[in-house]
Amino acid sequence: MSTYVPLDIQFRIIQQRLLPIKSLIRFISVCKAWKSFITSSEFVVGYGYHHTQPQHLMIKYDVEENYSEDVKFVCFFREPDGSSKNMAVLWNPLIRKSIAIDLPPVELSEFDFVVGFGVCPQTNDPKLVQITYIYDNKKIESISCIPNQVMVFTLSSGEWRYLSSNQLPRKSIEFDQRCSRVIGQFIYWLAYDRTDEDVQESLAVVKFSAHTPLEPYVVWTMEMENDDPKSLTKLFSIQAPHASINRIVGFSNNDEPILESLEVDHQDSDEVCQLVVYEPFSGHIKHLGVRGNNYSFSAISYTESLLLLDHDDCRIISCGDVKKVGTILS
Amino acid sequence: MSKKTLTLMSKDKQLFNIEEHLAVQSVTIRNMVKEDGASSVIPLPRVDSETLALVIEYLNRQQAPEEDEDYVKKFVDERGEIPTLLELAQAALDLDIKKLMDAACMKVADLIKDFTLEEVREALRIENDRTPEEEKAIRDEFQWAF
Repeated sequence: MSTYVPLDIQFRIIQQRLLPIKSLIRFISVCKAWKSFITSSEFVVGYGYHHTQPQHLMIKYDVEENYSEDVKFVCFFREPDGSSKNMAVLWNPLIRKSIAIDLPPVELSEFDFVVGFGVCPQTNDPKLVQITYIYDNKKIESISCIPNQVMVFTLSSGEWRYLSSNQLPRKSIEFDQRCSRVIGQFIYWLAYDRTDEDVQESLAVVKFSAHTPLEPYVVWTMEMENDDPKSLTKLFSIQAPHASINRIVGFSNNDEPILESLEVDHQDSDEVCQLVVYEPFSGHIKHLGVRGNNYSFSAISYTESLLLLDHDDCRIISCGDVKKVGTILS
Repeated sequence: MSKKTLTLMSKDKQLFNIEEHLAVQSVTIRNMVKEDGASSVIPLPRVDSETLALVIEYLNRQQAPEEDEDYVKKFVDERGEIPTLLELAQAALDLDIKKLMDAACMKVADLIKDFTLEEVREALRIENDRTPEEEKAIRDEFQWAF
C-alpha cells in the first residue's frame, strides 16, 4: 500500500456530489489544500444548482416580547424606504455568509421598483433584476419614457447593466414585489395593467378587489414544457370560513398552502397571528404553533448550495457610476 | 482464430493475462496497443498485484462493464474497505478506466461523509498542516458545521 493518497484522488473524492454541504464545510479544516479546493470559485459553482438539491422554506416573522420587537430572520431585500440608497442582501443560510449589493438609485418621487433574485441554472451565477416603473398614475402620460427600465446584475461580473430589448414591459404595468417567484431560469412577478384598454393582449391580471370575493385566495400552477411556461391552471381556492386569513406565506413540501391566520386568543381575548397549514382537499386547518405580529410573516424558499463560499463575508458591492433612473428618463 | 492476449505486470512483478479486447477498456492500454502493438509485457509500476487482480476481475466479469452503471456500483460496493477502494481508484486513474474510478471515489465519499476530521485524515493519510491556532480560527468561522 502506498503511503500517501495523491491530491488528484483526494479532490475527486471531495468532488462527488453526494457529499452534503455540512460535511464539505467541516472538511475545509482537514488541511490547507482541501480548503483552497473547496472554497475555489470553480468548485463552488460546479457543486451544482440542480433540482436534486434539497429545498427549504425559511419563515420570517416578528414577535413582541417585553415591548421590544425582535426580527427572527434576515430578509433578502431591504424594502425601498425612501432613503437614497437601497440594497439587496444575498444570504446563503446554509453556509452563513452574506454580501450586500447596492441597487441602482431610483427617483422615488415618480418611480418605484421591484427587485428579483435568482440563480441561473445553466451558469450557477446569482442574478438580480431591477425593474423601475412609473409610480404615479397621473404622470404616466407626461413622462416620456416608453418602456420600463430593466437592469440586471450578475455576481460573476459584479456589475449592473441595462437590458436593451424591445420587449420590455409597457409603462402602464405595475408590479407587485410581494408576488415574485423563480421558476426554472425565469423570474415572474404578479403585475397589473393600470389602463383598461387592450387588457386581452396583456399578460397582466386584473387587480384584486378586497370587497367582492368570498374566496379571496386561489392557487394556480404554471405548467412547464421544456423549461418554457405553457399555461396557468387553477388548482383550488382556499375556503376557510372560520379563519381570518391575512395572507398566503408559502407552500409546504406537499404543496399545501402555509397561511398567516388572525385569531382571537380565548384567554385574554387578544388578537394573535398564527402560522397554519391549509389542507386543500379536506379544508382542514392545522396550527404550526408559531405566533407573531399581525402581517409580519413571510417565507423565503431556498435551495442548498455553496454559493458565496468564495466571497468575503459582509462585503458590499457598490453599483459604481450607474446614473439615477429618474434623471435619465425625465 | 484464438483471441489475442496481453500480459500486465504489477509493481511486485506478478504477471496477469487478459484478452486484448477486454483490456482496451482501459484508455491507457488502448493507447499503448495502438502505438507499438504491445506484444511484450505491459508494466504497471504503481499497481500492486492484489489491486491488479481486482482490476482484471472487473474488466473480465462481463462485456463492457464500463457501460453498465449497476455493475460498476455493485463491484465497488462489494469491496467497501477504504484502503482497497483508494488503491482501486489510483489504479483506475493510471489505467484511465473512468467509471471504475468515479465509482470508487464516490464510495469513499459516501463512507467518509460523517467522519470526524481526525478520521478523514487517518483514512486518506493526510497530514494536518495547520497549527492549533489556525485550526481554531477556521472552527470559529464555521462553528455550526462541527
